[in-house]
Order: sequence, then structure tokens, then C-alpha cells
Amino acid sequence: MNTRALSLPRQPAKRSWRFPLGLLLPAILLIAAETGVRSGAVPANMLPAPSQVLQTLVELSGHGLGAHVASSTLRVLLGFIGGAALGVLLGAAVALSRRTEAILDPTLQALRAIPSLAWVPLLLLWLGIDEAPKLVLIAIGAFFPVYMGTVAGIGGVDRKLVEVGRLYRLGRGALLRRVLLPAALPSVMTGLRNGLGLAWMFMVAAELIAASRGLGYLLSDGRETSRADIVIAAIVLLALLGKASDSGLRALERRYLGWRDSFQAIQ
Amino acid sequence: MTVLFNLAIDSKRHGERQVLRDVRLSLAPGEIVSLVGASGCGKSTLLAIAAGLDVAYRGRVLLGGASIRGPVDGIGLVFQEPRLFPWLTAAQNIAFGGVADAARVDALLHDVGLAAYGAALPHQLSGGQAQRVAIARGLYTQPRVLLLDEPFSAVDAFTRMQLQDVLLAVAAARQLTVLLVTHDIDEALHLSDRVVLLGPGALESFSVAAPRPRVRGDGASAAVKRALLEQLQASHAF
Repeated sequence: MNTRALSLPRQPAKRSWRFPLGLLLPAILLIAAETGVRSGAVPANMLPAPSQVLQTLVELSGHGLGAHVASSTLRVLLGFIGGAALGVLLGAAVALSRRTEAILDPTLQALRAIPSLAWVPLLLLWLGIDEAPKLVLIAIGAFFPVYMGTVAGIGGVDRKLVEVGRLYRLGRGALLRRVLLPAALPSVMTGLRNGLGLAWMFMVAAELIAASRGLGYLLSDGRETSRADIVIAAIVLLALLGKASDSGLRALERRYLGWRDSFQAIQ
Repeated sequence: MTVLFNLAIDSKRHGERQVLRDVRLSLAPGEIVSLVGASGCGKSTLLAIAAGLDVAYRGRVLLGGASIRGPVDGIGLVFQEPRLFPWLTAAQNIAFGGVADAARVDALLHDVGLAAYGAALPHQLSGGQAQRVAIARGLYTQPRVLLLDEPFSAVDAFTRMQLQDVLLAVAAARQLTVLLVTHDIDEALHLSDRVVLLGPGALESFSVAAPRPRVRGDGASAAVKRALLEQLQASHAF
């Protein structure tokens, strides 16, 4: 028997060609913007040249840009952790018990239907204009995708695998830890990624309305002073930070979901 | 006859439908018994009761004279599908039902012919290999009785023969008592000491006297096969 033929493939090595391909479109857009502005076809006060935005970024970095980025990132991180933890907890509780589902789920679904910005005045009334309302708003944004992903993930676990757990006399806790959560992890992971995306979105909403620091503040400051370059610089930073944090979660996903035998895994 | 495993099911219902009634089945230590019957006759239900997964019935199950209700280490079960946990390696799947013991896992991997596959994930295994892992998992708690629910029905004929040989080898090495549900009469005749037909009436037993090791297709059990098939047809004629 050829028992040595089996190896455990990790990620395929031929990923490198994709990276430049992904940069192609941004590069074309940047060049188009630069030439458009320099030739005078586009007014520079509406769309500053990419080189101008870069220069603004450099200037800002001498004037507290790091603090803006840091406070926004910290808010997203804290709000996301809080909302995601609650999402996994309540999602598991609802998925595991019909009664809990009957009690909680209708209310949560109704809350989910509330547009994010509708929370803002209420949170400001209740919690003032300090960090608390921002963190709560971000947590609300992160909560629902994680909650939905956890409920769907645990609810969708193969009954046959659960039966194996019963055969080996796993208690409720052990069944959750050893069977249900690992099996639900792909769906929970998708929820986490969506939740993180919404956390960034809700952070901007929170900072646009009341903040003295952060990227959202930078955005509204840029608008008030008619500095399109600052606005675009902040947008670029948001794009980079969002992408970087999502890449972090994707790395976790690859690390912990490598066992999946899926279309995505062989691409 | 000394009895190791005894099933006495007075009644099992699925809602309004009577699935099993007055089923009496005893297995001697080391005996290999196949349970055959048309689909829907309650074979899998009987096995679920024997494994302790189904406790909503009237009757009792005895292992070595002690009444059991619910799964126990002394009884192993192999399902129709491998039912491996896709996020665990073959070795981790095997040890799922007990305390981790690398030496015991290695011995089982060796016994089922997968010595080099301990680190493999389920999706890297063929269907036959996955079912070998499932058999090893069923044996990990060192059961005295191994129950198998049509375990080889989803693999090709050649793999099935290999898996049957694996089962015979591990059963002989451990002096296992085996109760196998199958719809394959030839498989039943090749593996068992006794074939039990589960029909609408009482159980009917057919002894398979052919000596071991057996040769497939040598016709040694032709008379038993004919009797079995006749009875199977008779019991399902309406």
C-alpha cells in the first residue's frame, strides 16, 4: 500500500500572481486622476490629485494623524469585541434552546431592522457625547451579523454529527465545545467578518456626529474647511484599515478553517 | 449457550406505527450475527436501541447480564456513513470517544491498515479509508460488542471486500461480538456465524456453518442462501 503518498497540503504556493493583479485597477484610477487634475480637466478643489492627497497625508502625520487613526481603531476594536462576544453568546443561546429563541429572537430581529443612524440621537441622549455612545453604536453594528452567523451556523450543524456526540455521552457543554461550535465556525467566521465591516461603518457614523478625534472627525473637519484632500485622505485610510483588519480575520479563517473541503479552498 | 448481549424489545413505536414487536435476540461471546430484512423493517431502529441512542421503547437490553439504557463504552457503533468530524485528524477522530491515548490510536490505525494516515484530515481520505477510521473509532472505547449499521453499503465492491476483511480481522483479534445490519445477503453469509431475518413476524435465525476463513463465491453457503432468500420473499409477499 502506498501510504506515503499522502501529504497535508497547506495553502497553495501560487498565490503571488494575484497580488499585482489586484493593484491594477487602483493604479489605473490613480494615474487617471493625476493626469485629469494636472491637465485641468478636473477641478482640483473637487478632486485633488493623488500626489496632493499623499502630501496632505504626510503633512497630517506631523499633526496628530496617528492619534486620529489610533482612536478610531481602538473604538472599532473595543466595540467590535463587545458586540461580537455578545453576538456569539446570544446566538448560541438562541440556537441551542427553542424557548430562548422564542423569547429573544423576535425582539432581536426587530432591533436589527432599525437603521444605524436612528440609534445616534438616542445614544447621545442616554450616554452623552463621550466614548460610551460611540462604543455602543459600534457594538450594535458588529452584534447582528455575528449573532445571525452563530444562529445559522449552530442551527445548520449536521444532525448525524450531533448523534455521534450523543453516542459518546457528551454533556451540553462538551457537545457545544467539541461538536457544535467547531461545526458552526465557518458561519460564525463569516459573521465576524461582516460584523467587523459594519463596525468600521458605524464608527464613522458615530465620529461624524460627535467627536474631537478620529477619522470620522477628520472627514467632517475636511468638509467644513472645504478641504477635499483631507476628506479623501481620511477615506483612503479607512479603506486601508478596513482591508487590513479584514485580512487579519481572513488569516485566522485560513488558520482555523483549513479543514474545509470546499470550492474556495481549492481555488 | 452463554449470552453476552441480549435484546428483548417488547414494543417500539414511531408515533402510531408499530416498528418492532416482541423482538428477542441473544448473541454469544465472539459471535458474529448479521441482521437482514427489507428496508423499513426496523433494522436500523433495532440497532439504535441496541446502541443506546434510542431509549423510547418498551423492553430491555442486557450486556453481560447488566441492564443498560443509553450509550456505554462496552458497546461500539459504526454508522452507515463514516460521520467523521471534518476539523479533526484521523487520529483525533478515533480518540473522540475516550481519553487520548496515542499508543491505542496507533494500534488501531495499524489494525485498520491506515498506519501512516493519523494526521490526515477526513477530506483527504477516500470513502473506504474514512470508513476504516470510523471502525477504529468504534473500537477505541474497547467495546465487547460492536454494532454496525450497513457500514459498507456506500463503497464500491472491491473496497467493500477489503473492509469486510478488516472487520473480520479486528473482530477475531479482539474476540468481538458483532451485530451487523446489512441488506447484502452475500455479505451476511460471508461474515456471520448466524444470519437473522427481521420480518413482520418473529425473528428467524439461519446458522452459517461454513468454516473460516471463508472463500467468497465458493458456494459453501448456497443452501443457506436459498433458504434465506425464500424466506425473505415469503415474508414480504402480500
